[in-house]
Amino acid sequence: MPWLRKYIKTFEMGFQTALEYRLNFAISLISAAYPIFIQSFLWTAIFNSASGSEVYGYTYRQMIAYTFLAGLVARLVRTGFEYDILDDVKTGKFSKFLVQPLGYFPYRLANFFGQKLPGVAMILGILVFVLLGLNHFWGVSIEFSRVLLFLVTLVLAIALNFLIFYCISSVAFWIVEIGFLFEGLRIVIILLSGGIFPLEVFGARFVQVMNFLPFKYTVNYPINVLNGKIPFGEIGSGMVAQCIWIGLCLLAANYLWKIGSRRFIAVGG
Amino acid sequence: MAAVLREIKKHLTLYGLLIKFSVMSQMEYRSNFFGNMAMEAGYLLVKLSYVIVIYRSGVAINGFSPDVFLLFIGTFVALTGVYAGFFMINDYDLRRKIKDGDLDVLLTKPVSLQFMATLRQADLGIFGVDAVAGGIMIIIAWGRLKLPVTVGSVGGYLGFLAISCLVSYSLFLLPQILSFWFMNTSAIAEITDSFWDFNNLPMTIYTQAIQLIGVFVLPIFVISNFPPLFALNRMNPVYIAWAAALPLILLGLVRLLWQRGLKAYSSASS
Amino acid sequence: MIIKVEHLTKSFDYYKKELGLRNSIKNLFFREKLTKTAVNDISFEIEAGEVVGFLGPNGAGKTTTLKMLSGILHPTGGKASVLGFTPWERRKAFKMQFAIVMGQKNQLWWDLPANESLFLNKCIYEIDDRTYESTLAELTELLDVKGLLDVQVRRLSLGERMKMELIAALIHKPKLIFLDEPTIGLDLISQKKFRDFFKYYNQEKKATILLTSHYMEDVEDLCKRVVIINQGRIVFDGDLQKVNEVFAQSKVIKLQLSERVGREALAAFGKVREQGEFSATLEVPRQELKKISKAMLDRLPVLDFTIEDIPVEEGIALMYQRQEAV
Repeated sequence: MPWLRKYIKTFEMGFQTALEYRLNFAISLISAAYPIFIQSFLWTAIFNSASGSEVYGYTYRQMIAYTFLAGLVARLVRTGFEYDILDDVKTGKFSKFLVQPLGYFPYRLANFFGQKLPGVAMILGILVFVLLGLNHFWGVSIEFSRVLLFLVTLVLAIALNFLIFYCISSVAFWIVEIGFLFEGLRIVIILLSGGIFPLEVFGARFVQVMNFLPFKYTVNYPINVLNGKIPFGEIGSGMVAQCIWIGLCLLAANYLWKIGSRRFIAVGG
Repeated sequence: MAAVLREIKKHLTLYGLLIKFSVMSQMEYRSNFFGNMAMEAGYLLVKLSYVIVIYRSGVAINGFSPDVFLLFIGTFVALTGVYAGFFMINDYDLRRKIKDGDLDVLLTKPVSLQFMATLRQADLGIFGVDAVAGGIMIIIAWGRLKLPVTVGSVGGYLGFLAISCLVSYSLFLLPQILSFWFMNTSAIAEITDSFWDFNNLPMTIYTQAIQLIGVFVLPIFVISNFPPLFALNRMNPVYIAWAAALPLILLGLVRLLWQRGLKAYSSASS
Repeated sequence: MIIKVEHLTKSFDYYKKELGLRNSIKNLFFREKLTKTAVNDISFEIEAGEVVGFLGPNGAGKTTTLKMLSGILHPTGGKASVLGFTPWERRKAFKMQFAIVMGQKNQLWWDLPANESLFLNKCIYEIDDRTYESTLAELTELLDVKGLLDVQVRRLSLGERMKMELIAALIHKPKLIFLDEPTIGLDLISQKKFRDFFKYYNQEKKATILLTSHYMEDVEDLCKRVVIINQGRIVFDGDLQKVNEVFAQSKVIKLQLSERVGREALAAFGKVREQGEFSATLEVPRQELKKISKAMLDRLPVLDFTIEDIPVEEGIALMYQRQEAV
């Protein structure tokens, strides 16, 4: 399959880039640990001062487990190509893809997975330690079958988050000077995904609204599959929802990029 | 003495000009300006989510009511505006300047190099978002807590805010000065920058040991805890003495390290 | 005497860098330290009002010398006195009296009109309003940029931008001006204008000017005295006339030809330095330049034609030969 070769090459290039920046990645993991640390202290303080044993429907153990997992999963699904895309459009590098038999979407996807791989391996390793630690110190037990299901939802979550940010990146076709807008959107989306606090914390109405948006399927849902908040019988419907959202985002991405590149050509890149 | 005062006046005038220039430059790229404001608003939203969590939990944490938390978080948000809007952007630029030799011409000018190199840029958009939001949070908390509105209480609070600004300027500049010796300090910078977020919540939620370290060893807690603690009348004499001494100690350290770094800069390059 | 330099030396350490992961790990523990001497025991004096040119190839130590004299760099050894100060002490009174212009560095705010940056310099140099206005008017008049003061710097051409940089550097009426490659990247006409400006400025203001360049023309046009630096040492310090005898005794002519020409046919006009298929470089004596050029244009199928100085590096080699012969 010669047409696949170039994407494998792109994958490799992404992989190499990630290795080159391994120090940066390690450091970003350290700074990702800070919020986990802060939130754990907050929850500890809240639970110590609260009267009941449950807050927002979570036990203390579940809440700590959620906080750790949310930090890791949010890091795991995180993209980071938004500014690369912006740069491609700004400098006109994007036009290369319009004339070459190399699709931009598969190029980005292959590059993304290549870059993601070393990090995923590392985070999954940490995750194993966290799960063992949670089990040992807090007595949080996790069933093996849930771990397997979690991994499936995780792959879907990564794909979904990729598509969400791929859609967002198409903004570059309309405005190139956007400062740190993507950074702002990223942090808000993490919040809406449940990457900082469990969504239940913000009330039932908020959760209802979030049920109609794709974001919670990137962080909140995989974690709840793992920690047992979602009964076995309902896991399947969540996965179906993930797939539906992936489909919808694909359509949206396709549409946005089609009109975007049309504009790119019209304006003259 | 008169000469010192004249220098201070000159540098204040220059600072006014630099801020004006920063705004004018930003207005040339307006969508960037608004993009940065959007980012800051995003971060603000996350900080507010902590407030929501605390209010909705409805418990007094370690004896602090949610309104007290609001006062702390409001103070933190407002100071984040100062840090991100006036200090942080220059820190990133300092590394580049040292690397590219951009300090050369500045060194020959009759003006403080440290001033020109660390306070040149300002982002009033970022500052504005946080200052307004933080200000509103502080005022609401102040009212709900029925804190006195007197010259002493408000003035004292503002005085501690000023101390916090000095502490954040010097504390977060210190690691950046290492760029004079090491070319690649972005890693260190990223770690120290995210230290800032430890102030998102009052230090009472941490253990006693962490509190001691955060006040006296790596004094980040001083920044966003002392002003509200003063407003709540909870400052003890040790804290007050420390608040008075710390800015002087830190500014002295910055000065010392800066001079050393400059010596290295002018000895090691060609 | 405005500048007195004695045995000034500048060396710095650097580390040998080897590629590859294994070497980076090795370098963590032992790095091979190397020392480079950029400026090696130089001494000279400059009188007030002089215009002195520092000539030498890239990396010879010209800029390093200038940076030491302006206090940017600390020397490894030796002494220097500039305007009565030791430059690297960086006294304010010293800084108020001189200026340095580096061709590759700009101090103007990129997105703002130049007059904003100029005003900043007014405040930095504590210039009173009236002096500022009159100096500004004079300089803009001289450099012919009056209408461009309120145009954003990024919209100016390179030549216009350099003019603004000059105004920014001269707004406090410095007694001493260091110019580091001031005409780099400029077109020939702008280069000429710059030289004229400095000539006038030196005569009118009695300002002392020290300039580095690797264009012979900059030096030729402006300086009576030339200091030639090579590999950190002064190889010549004296009258421009003497340098000209060596440097300018021949010129280099570059030709683009429309058809192939035999080597003998070219050699009839001068020494052939290089020959390509449709191009050639010849060296001819300066006195006969006019005559030979005319003859060449008449007799050879010339498409394009440029006259240049012999490269500085070669001139320096010639200077060496001559000194050894003496």
